[in-house]
Amino acid sequence: MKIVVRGLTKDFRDRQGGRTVQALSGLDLTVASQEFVCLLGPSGCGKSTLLYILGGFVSPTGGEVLVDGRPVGPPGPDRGIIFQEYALFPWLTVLENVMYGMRRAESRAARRARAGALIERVRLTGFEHHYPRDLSGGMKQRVAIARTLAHEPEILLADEPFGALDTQTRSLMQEELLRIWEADRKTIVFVTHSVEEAVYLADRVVIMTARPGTVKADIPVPLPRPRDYDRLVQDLAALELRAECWRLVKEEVLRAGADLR
Amino acid sequence: MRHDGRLAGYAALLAVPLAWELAVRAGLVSDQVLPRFSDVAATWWQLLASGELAQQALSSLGRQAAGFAAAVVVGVALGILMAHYRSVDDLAGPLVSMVLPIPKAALIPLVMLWFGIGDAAKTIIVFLGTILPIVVSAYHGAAGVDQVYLWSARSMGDREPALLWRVVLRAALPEILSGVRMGLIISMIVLVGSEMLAGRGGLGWLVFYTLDTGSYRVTYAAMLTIAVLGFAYDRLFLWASRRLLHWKESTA
Repeated sequence: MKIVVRGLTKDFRDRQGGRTVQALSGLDLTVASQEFVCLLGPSGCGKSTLLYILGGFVSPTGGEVLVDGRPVGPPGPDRGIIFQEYALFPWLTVLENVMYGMRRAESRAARRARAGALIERVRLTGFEHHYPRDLSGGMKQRVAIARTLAHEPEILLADEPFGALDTQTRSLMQEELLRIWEADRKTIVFVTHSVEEAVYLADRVVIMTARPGTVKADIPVPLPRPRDYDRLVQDLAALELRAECWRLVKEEVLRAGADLR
Repeated sequence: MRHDGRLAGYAALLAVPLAWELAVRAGLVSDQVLPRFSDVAATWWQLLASGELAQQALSSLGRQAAGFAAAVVVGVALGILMAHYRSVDDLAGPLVSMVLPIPKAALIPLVMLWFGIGDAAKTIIVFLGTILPIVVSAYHGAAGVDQVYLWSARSMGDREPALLWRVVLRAALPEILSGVRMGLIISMIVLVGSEMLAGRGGLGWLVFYTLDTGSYRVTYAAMLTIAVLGFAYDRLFLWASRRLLHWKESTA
C-alpha cells in the first residue's frame, strides 16, 4: 500500500469560542500505488484537512499516517500538491514556475529541456515567457500541474483543483489530467465535491461523512480506461454509480444541514 | 485624460516661481527676506558651475544613501523574520512598537550625544529614522503572504531560509516597497534636520549657515536643490518599483 491511514483524528481549536471542533474522527483509508482515489463529501467534512495531513502541512491529533510504510514527514517533493487557487508564483513566468522545484543537481540546460517538454505536455508551448496574470484559469491550472510534475512526485494531492473553472474548461481539464495520469501513473488523491468528476476520474470513490469526517463508503469504479467523457455520460454502469454516490453524499449533506439548524 | 492632468500639474509647478518673482518685483514681499526667483536661479547656477553645490549635495547624499541602504536591508530582514518566526516577533515586537511613535526629530540630539556630530552620527540618524516604516511594511507584507504559496514552495522542497528569500520576499515586495518609499521621504527630512543642527557640510548645513550669514540667495538655492533632489529621488523610486513589480501590471 502506498498510503495507509489508521484511526486518524484531527481537532481544531475554535478561534472565537475556544471550544474544540472535531474535523476528522477515527478515519481509516488505504490507497494502493498508482491508484486514483477521489475523496467526495459535503463541504466542511474534513476532506481537505485529510489531504493536508497527507501532504504534511497539517499535523494530526491522533492516529497514524504511513506513506510507503513510514510515518508521513514534513512537506516534500515526494508528494506534489495542486490547489484550487492554482498558487502559481505571479512574479515568475510560466517557464520559471515550472522550473521552480527542479533539483539543482540537474544542469540548467537539462532543467530547461525538461520544463519545455512538460509545458508541451500540458499544451502551453508558446506561453513559456508569459506571466500568470496573462493566463486564463484553465491555463494557470495546467501550469500548476506541470510545475508539480516537474519535481517528479510519487503521490499527487489535488484539492478541488478544477472547482474554480467554468463547466466546459472543467471537463477539458479532467480529460487532460486523465491523459497525463494514464501516461505515467502516479498515486493520486483527489478532493472534490462533484459526483460526476469523482466517477469520471477515479478508480475508487471514497465518500466521507459530515463532520466529524470519517469514511462512509468506499466505492470501486470498475469503468474501463481510457475513459471517454462523452461516452461515459450515456454509460449505464456510470449512471448507476453516479446515482449511488449521489444518494450517499446527499444523506451527509442533509445531515450536515440538519446540524446547522 | 491622464496626459492633460500631468500637464496641468507641471503648469502649477511653473506658476509658483512666476508668482514668487512677480510678488517680489511688485514689492508685495521684501527682497530682504525673499530674493527674486531670478536672482536665486542665477546664484544656483553659479554654485552649480563652481562645483560648490555638487560637493555639498554629494556629502548629503553619501550619508543618506548609506543610512537608507542599511535601513532597507536590516528593516526588510527584521520585518520578514518577525512575521515568520514567533520567537523573533516576541523579542523584537515590543521594541519596534515602542520606538515607532517617537518623532524622528527627537532621535537627532540623542544620537549626537552618543556618536558625536560626524558622518557616522548622521548616517545612524538616517538609519534609525527610516527603518521603522520599512520594518512595519515588511512585517505586514510577509504576514499576509498567501498560505498556498508557502505550501507549494515547501512541497517543492523549499525550507527556510530559501523559502523566505524565494517566496516571502517576492510575495511581500509590493507592500515592502510602499514602506521603502515612505522611508525614502523621511530620510531626506531627518538628514537635512541633522545637518542643520550640527557639523559642517551638506545641503542642510548650507541652508542654515547662509541663513546665519545673511546670504539668503544661497539659502534659497540650497533649499531648491533639496526639493529637486527629493523629487528626483521619488521619480527614481517609482521607476525602480515599476521595474521590480512589472509582473503585477496587466498588459491589457
